Amino acid sequence: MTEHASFVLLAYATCFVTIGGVALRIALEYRRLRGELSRYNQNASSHSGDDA
Amino acid sequence: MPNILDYANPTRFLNFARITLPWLGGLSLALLAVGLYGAFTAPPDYQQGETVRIMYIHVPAAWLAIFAYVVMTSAALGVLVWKHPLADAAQKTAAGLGAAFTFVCLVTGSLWGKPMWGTYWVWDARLTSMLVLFLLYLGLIAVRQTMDDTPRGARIASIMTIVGAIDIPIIKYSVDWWNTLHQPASVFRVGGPTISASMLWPLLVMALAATTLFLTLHFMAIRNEILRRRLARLSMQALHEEARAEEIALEAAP
Repeated sequence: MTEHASFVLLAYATCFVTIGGVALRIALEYRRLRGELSRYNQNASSHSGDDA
Repeated sequence: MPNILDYANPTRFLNFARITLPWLGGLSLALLAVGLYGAFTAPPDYQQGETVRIMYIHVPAAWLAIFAYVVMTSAALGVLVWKHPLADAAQKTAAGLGAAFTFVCLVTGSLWGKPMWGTYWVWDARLTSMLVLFLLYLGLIAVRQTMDDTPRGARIASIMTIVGAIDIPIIKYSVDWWNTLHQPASVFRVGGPTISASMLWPLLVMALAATTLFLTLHFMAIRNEILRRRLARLSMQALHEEARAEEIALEAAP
């Protein structure tokens, strides 16, 4: 690739950064949500243990 | 035999996503690897030269930008007709993905336009209708962020989505209805594709990779939305219980 190589590379970079960024954001959010939910479940089970 | 509507239940969807996501993600990566290999080993175009390689990401991004809107419109009907929570989650989460693919389509198109047309942008019917689609996505994201998870917010976003669907046939037929600088359809057209087979197969593999990638990300985003709503419900319940406990304590106090 010689001519216009910078346009081609920039196009592919934009594509990978944008879609990759979206994928990463979704994956990190999933991790955060699972962490928060498991904390809630732990709290709930420890409360029910206190009640017992 | 299980009906497809059986999966239209948040808990069943979570189980379905847990099983299908690793396969769908793996398939996306495999198709992407094959597609990229094809895109960089296909012959250069006799007129466009190496710049034609931008087509292998630009065209799938454009198809997926439209596909995401079709998914959103179907989900919007599910929200308005059946008030289904899964349709609501699907409609809400598709907007961000659609916006990302539309953005990629617009930027890669501009980067192709500069060396080929001598300009990054022209107010051509195809380009303008695609920009309108991008603005529609941004508008829908803004509506959802402003109105949280209220049924009213879901209804307004669904009505906006259905009204905005008018842009989809305009994008598709803009190159036939008006004189545009953008080239007419060269794959899905009466009389078959006009692209050489050596360039067509990498394009189709890349389009398939983009579709499976979209489905993977969409399922992941719907799963997040379901978990987020569960978390919101749990924290609301915890607040109610706390308030009730305080009330009981106050009543019991002498």
